[in-house]
Amino acid sequence: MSAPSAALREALVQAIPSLRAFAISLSRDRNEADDLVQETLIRAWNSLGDFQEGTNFKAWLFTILRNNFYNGLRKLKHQTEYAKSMDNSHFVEQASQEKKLEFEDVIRGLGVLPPDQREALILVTVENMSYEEVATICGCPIGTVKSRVNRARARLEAHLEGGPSSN
Amino acid sequence: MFGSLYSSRQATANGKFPCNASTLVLCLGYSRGRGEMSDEREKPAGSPKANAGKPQTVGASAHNDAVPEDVVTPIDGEIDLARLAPQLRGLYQELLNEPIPDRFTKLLDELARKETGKQ
Repeated sequence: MSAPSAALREALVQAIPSLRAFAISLSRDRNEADDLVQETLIRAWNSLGDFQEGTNFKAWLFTILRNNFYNGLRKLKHQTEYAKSMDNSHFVEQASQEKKLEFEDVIRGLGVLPPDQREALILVTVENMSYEEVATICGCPIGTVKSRVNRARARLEAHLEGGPSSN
Repeated sequence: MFGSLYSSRQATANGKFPCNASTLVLCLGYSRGRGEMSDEREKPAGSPKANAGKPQTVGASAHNDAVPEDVVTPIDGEIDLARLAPQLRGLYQELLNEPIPDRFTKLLDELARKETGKQ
């Protein structure tokens, strides 16, 4: 393996956990998330010439993954209506455990957020990215990112309090 | 309200929530199907190759947003995420700590082999 290939491989390997987490937050399907990550790795490897040195490599990868996801979504919309109806029993089997109930409440709250708000919130909180970096990834103004994060925060907190969620 | 709410929702002593990554996926997928994604107003993108690493814009939130988000009142100052951020990091921590599946390392090895073969 050449030195540049080895360095790129290592950089990609280090990014995989974050890419998987971000892919799951977008797709909400573990298998699809891993497919997204795989496509992202291939595209990043083949498009390395498009990466601007000195910019954030991880943010570049996230942008590719996000583009893959929304491109796939467009194709899907032209094919068949896709709707998931998950059975509560899959994840509340130990509903007597208070911690688990509380935890599930948080992720249910995440699940009702619009994707653009959820991705902004996850990138800022979990990935600890700046609003500017998220704006670059999402291709929107920083103010829009802040608006999305603020709305997501308000909705999620309202959900956790048991009140109506605002937009 | 928030004090008791959040104090009772903290991660366990080891910083992890009593849930695995699969549960996270299930719960995130619970409420809405993909047909409800908020990109209703998106325009078709160009060539994926040409767009690699360049962000695509997504329309304002569906979910009955009454006001387009781009014209909402600007957010001045920092958004207080002190309560939510630890919880969300806890949710994803287990996923971030999972071993990297072999399929990815094998894929990268294969890409590297092909790259070496070209040279």
